[in-house]
Amino acid sequence: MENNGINEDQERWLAFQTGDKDALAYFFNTFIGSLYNYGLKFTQDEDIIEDTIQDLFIRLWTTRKRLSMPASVRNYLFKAFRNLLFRKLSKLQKTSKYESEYIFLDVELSAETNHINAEQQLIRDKRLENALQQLPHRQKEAIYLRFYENASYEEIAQIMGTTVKACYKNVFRALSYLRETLITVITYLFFRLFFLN
Amino acid sequence: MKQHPTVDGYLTYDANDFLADEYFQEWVKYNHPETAMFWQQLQELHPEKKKVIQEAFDLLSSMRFKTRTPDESRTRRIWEYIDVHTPEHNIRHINWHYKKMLAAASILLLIVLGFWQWRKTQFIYKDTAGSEISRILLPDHSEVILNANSRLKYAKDFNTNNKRELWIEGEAFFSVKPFTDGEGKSQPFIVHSTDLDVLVTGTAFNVYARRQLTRVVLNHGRVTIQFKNNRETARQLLPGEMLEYNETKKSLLQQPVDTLLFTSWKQQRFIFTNTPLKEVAQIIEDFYGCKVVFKDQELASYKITAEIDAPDIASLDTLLSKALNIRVTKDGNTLILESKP
Repeated sequence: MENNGINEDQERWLAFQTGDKDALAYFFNTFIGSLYNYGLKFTQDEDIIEDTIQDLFIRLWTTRKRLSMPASVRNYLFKAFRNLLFRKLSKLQKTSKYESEYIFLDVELSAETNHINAEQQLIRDKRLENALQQLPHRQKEAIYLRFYENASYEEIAQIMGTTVKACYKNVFRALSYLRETLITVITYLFFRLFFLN
Repeated sequence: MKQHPTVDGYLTYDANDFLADEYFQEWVKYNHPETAMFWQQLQELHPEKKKVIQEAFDLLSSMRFKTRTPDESRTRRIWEYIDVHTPEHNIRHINWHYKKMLAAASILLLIVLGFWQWRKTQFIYKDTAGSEISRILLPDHSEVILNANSRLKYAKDFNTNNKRELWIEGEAFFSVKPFTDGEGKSQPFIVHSTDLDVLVTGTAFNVYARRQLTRVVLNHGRVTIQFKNNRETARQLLPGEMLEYNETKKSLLQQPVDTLLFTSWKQQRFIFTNTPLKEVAQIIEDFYGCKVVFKDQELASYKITAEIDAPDIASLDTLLSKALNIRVTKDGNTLILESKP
């Protein structure tokens, strides 16, 4: 999260609260891409995401006078978007209990390591990708927010409605698991190389 | 980073601890000088930590996320829906009595306004589909060539009331006829895009307004560019110059260019000179309204030099595949590019 953007966003927020439609359009244009991408982590149904984004901004507009100034507009939108999306998904019974089904984390791991060749890299990436997909959903979401959206642990806690400690734990466990997978793969590759020669 | 971390605080850390440490992650991601210095120093003071730090660094720096953002037409559709449902004035907190009177008054006002609006500012929309280029003659005999997947909007009473105004989404080439009113004053011709306005006298120029980017290329004549935000001051373009502005990235570029490259689409021709395949893909997406996906990321950086007539979309995949010696598969509205095994 860039610190220099915050004041500007807050200024726009004030304008938006007094009914400046351009400010609403600004927030829409600034965050549509990342909200959309975030939504795709929970469902592949783009119509639901589209619906949710529309609801989010319409609600924002109709309730603008009652809203207080958020410390970060992005965080506020992410959190509100997440709540709306979950409500929608459970209403549509796409997921009866969202925690058990959601999050498809589309992550690539690309390391430019000199010691391994292309084929080995492929094996490694495949294994890491599998490892990533097997992570518990809350760990995946925390990783996504930390490394893709660059939210701090504190901000992740706000968005996901949990504690900073829990977020740290989620990221810690996820990364440790990935690291262990990586070590196993490298050992495996080493032995393969050894026996093939 | 609430409190500044100290070297001693990290002495008990193993690779897993480093991986999850916010300050460490900041270093890997941004490599700011002062952060880099801290971690350099830590490694010098405690060489036994070098190995685990390197390991954690390698893993973190190799993580990449795939992104998928909505295309332009979807974004536009989402916004149009929001726009309609967020009226600028809502009369929520006014009591009943007042409300009735207000309602009566506003109905009257609406009728009057509606009539006035209908008479004065009804808009004409010109839309082009994928791979369609259309030529539009404006009431003042200025000419617009509208590229594929684009929309031009202007008022029905264009050219009366001393006003020549147009709105563009997508890409278009304008040939503007000088026009003077009864008193011999020349009438301005204004092209609006999302982020900037182009003010014109007799001139020919190209406006590209897609993907948060607005690019104006001037063939001849003279134009003034005014920015919608108030940070940038107005600029003048000379013939043969290009101005490129990106509102999200806040980047502004003005430089001389070969105007032919930017207006070849009018002849349904693509000209690429050492253009990365990634940009070629964008041009294809803009023109055909399809989506282009790279299965192998290194393909995106291939450089291409070519001059070709725009093929129809049906033969696009075979052409690409043959010309670049890659595998191209079509999946609905998406072209998937991958290198041959």
